[in-house]
Amino acid sequence: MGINIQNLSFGFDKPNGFSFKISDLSLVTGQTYVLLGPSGSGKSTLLNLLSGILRPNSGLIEIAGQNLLGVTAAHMDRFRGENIGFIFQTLNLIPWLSAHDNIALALAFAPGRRARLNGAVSDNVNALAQSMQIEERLLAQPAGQLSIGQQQRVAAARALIGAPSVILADEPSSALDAANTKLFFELLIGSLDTTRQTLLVVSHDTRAIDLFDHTLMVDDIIENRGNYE
Amino acid sequence: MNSLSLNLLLRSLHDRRFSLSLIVLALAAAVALFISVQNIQRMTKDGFENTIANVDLVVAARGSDIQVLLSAVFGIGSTNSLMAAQSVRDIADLPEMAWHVPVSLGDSHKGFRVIGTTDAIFAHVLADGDKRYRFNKLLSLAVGADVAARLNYSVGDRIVLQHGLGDYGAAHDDLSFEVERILQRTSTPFDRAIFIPLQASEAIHRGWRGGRRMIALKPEHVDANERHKEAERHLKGHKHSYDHENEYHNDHDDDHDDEDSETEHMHGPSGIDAVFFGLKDQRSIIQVQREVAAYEAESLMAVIPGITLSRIWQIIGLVDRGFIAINILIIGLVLLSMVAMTVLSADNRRREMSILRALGAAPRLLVGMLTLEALFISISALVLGVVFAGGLSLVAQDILAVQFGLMSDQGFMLSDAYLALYLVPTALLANIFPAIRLYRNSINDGIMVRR
Amino acid sequence: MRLTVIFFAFWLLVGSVISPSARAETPKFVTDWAHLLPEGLYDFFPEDMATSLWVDPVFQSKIAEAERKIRPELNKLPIVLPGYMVPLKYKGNMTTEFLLVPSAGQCIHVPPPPINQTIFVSLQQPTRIRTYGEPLIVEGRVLTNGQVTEYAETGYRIDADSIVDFSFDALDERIEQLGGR
Repeated sequence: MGINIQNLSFGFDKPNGFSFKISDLSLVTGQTYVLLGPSGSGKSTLLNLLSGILRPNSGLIEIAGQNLLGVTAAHMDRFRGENIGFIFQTLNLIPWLSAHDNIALALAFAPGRRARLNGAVSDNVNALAQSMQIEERLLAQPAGQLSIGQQQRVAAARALIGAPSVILADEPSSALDAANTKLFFELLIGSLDTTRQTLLVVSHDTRAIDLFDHTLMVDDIIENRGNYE
Repeated sequence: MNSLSLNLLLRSLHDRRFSLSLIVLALAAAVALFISVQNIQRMTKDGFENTIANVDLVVAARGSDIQVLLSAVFGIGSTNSLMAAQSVRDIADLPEMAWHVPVSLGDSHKGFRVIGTTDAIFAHVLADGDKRYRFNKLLSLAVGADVAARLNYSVGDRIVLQHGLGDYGAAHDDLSFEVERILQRTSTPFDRAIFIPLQASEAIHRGWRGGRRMIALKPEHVDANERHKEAERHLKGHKHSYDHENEYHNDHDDDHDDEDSETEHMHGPSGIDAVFFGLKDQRSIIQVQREVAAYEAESLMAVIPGITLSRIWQIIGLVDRGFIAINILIIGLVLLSMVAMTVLSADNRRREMSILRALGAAPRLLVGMLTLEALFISISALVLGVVFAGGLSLVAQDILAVQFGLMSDQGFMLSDAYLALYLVPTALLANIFPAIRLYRNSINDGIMVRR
Repeated sequence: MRLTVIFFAFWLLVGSVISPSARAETPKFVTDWAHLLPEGLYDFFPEDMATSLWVDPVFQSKIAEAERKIRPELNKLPIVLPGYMVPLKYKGNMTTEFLLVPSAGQCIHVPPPPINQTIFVSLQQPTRIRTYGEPLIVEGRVLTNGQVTEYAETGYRIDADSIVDFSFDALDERIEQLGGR
C-alpha cells in the first residue's frame, strides 16, 4: 500500500476547536490520485499529517507500509526524506544552487534513495531531466534563473529521483498556465515508477484531472471543522 | 557529512560571499588589533623587565623615587634637581659601599640620551664583555648596541652632541666626540644610550648659561681647562687620587667658571643627577638608606630599585588591564555583529531551511551546518588577522623604535596570537543563540513556509 | 652611625621581651624573629644607661658587633617566618632573591633592622614582588653556614619552599604543621 489511513482523528478537545477526521483513505501503489477541494478545506493539514510534521490524536496512518506513529520524532525527518518526494506550489528550489544540484540534493539526506540508483548520480539526474523535458543547458544554471514552468519540472525531478514510495504534490500547477499544466502532469505521471510509487496531487485546479487514475473529493474524504491555521 | 551536503554548504557560502567577506574582514581586523596591542604590551614589558640587576641603591637629590628611576635607568623624563659632588664623595666614602657610578643626564644625540659617567659603569653595571673597557680620552664615547645598529655607527666615527633631551637643542658643534667602542647588548634600556666621561659632560656645559651658549669652546680650551684644574688640585693638596673611580671632579672653587645653581635642568659642572651604588653586604641596605636620608649637607634619598620598579609595574599593570579590557570589548563587539549577521541570514534562509527539511534534513543537521559556517568564519578571520598583524608589525617596527623607543629582540611573535585562539570557541558559543532560533523556526515552519 | 645607636633600644626591647624561654634550648624549628638572636646577646648593656655611653664609639662598635652575631646551631632547621620583602634579584615584577626583614623599612619612625635580623631568601620559583604594604610568610630551611656576601660575611640564609601572602590564619596553620610553638 502506498498510503493507508484508517480512523484518523486530529484536533483539539475544546468545543468549537479544530477537528479533522478521515475514516478511510487507501491509496494503492502504482496509481495516481488527484484530491480536489477549495483552499482551507483541510488539505494542508492532511499534507502535514502525511509528512509527519503533525501527529494524529488517534488512528492509523501508514506510508509504504510503515505506521507513522511508530517512527520517533528523531527519525521522522529521515523517514520523510527516504519515502516521500514533495512538490510544492512554488519556491521549491534553492535559487542559488544549480538545477542539477537541486535535483541531486534529494539524495543528500536519503541514503536509501541514493542506493536505489543505478550508476552515477549525474547520470540519473540527466536521465530524469530528459524525462521531464528539461533542456541540458539549463541544468548548470542557478535554479532561480529558470522560468516557473522549468522550475516546477525540476522540482518534480527532485521528487522523483531515487524513487521514493510516495510523491506528494501540493497544488503544483497553480502557478502555471493551461498548456504548461497539461505538460507538467503528463511528464510527471509518465516518469513514475509504477512498480513502487504512488502519486497524490492535492489541487483545486480541475484542468488536468483526466490524466489521473482516480479523482477524490475532499468533502468525501475529510470531515473537517474549524480552521487549523 | 556527505559530498552533496558539503557541496550545499560551500555553494551557500559562495552565494553569500559578499556579506561573509565583510564579517571575516571585520573580525580579522579586530584580531589583528588585539594581537598588535598584545605585541606592544609585551615589548613595553620587555623594555621594563631587564634593568639594573647589580645596583643595590640609587642615590639622588630628594624627590620622587619613580622619577629618579625612570630618568636614570629608562631615560624617560628628567630629574628635578642635582646632587653636589661633595655629597657624592661623602656617600661613596661610607664603609658599606663597595663601588659607585655617578651619572649625569640631559644631553641627547639624534633622539638617544647621552649619559656622562665614569669607567665604573663598565666594570659594574653593563655587559660582562665590556667589564675591562675604560674611556681613553676626554672626548671619547661608548655607544649602546641599539644606538650603533640604528644610527650605523662604527668605531672611529666622529659625532656632535646636543643639549637637552630633544632634537630641538642647539648642537655643541665646537666639540665633536669619537666613537671608541660599541658596547655589547645588555637587553636593558642602556642599549639605547651613549656614554661619555663625566668630565666631558661638564666641560661641554662650561660655556653655557641659562640654556644658551655664551662662549665658543674649542677642543684646546677644554683640554687646557682640564690641565689647569689638575694643576690647581695638586696645589691645593687634594686628597683624592686621580683614579678611575672618581673622575667627576668638579670644583666650585675653580674660578674659571662662575656658574651658579640657576642651571636646574641644564647640567653645568656642579651637578650629578644620580649615583648607582653597590654594597659590600646587601643586608645593610636599609641602614644605608637611612644614613643617606639623614645626610645633613644636602637633602638626598636612596632608592631601592626593586621596590620602586615594583611600583612602576603596578602602574603598568593598571594600563595593561585597561588594554586587555578594551581588547575584549572590541572582539566582543565584532562577535556581536557576527551573531547579528547570522541571525539575519538565518531569517532570510527560512525558505531554504524548510526545503531541506522536506528533503529529510533534521533540524540538528541544519544547526550543524550553521555551526560549521561559524567555524569557517572564525578560523578564516583568525588566520587573516594573524597575517595582518604580522604585516603591520613589519611596517611599524621602525616607527615604534624611533618614535617610542620600543625595541625588542623579537618583533612579532606568534605567541602574541595565542589569546586570539580563543576567538574560535567564543565564536561557536556566540553562535548558540542564532542556532537555537533556527532550530525553533524550522520546527515551527515545518515544510510549509510560504515566503 | 649615631642613628642606629639611638634607635637601638627598640630592638633591644623586641629581642628580649618576645618568648625568652624559646631561646633557652636548641629549638627544632624557627617561627619567630627572636629565635634568631643568640642568648645573652645584649648582656653587655649596663642596668642604668648613661647618655655618654650611647655616644661612646667603643660601645657603638660592640653593638654593631652584636648585631652581626648569629646562632649557628639553627643550621638546616625548618623555618616559618613572617616579614617584609626587599627584592634583590628580579625580572619584571617577579623576584628570585630578596631580603626578609621584620618590619616595613620605609617608615622612618621604625628603626632599620639589625643585620642578624635581615635574611637572604632565595627561591627556585620566582614569586611576585611584594611592596612594603604587603607582608608575607616564608617557609623553608634556614642556613647558617656558608658566606652570604662576596666579602665573606656569615649570616642567615633561607632556602625557601613557599612564599604566601601574610594572614594570621596562614601563619598559625604553618606553625602548627611544624609541630606547634
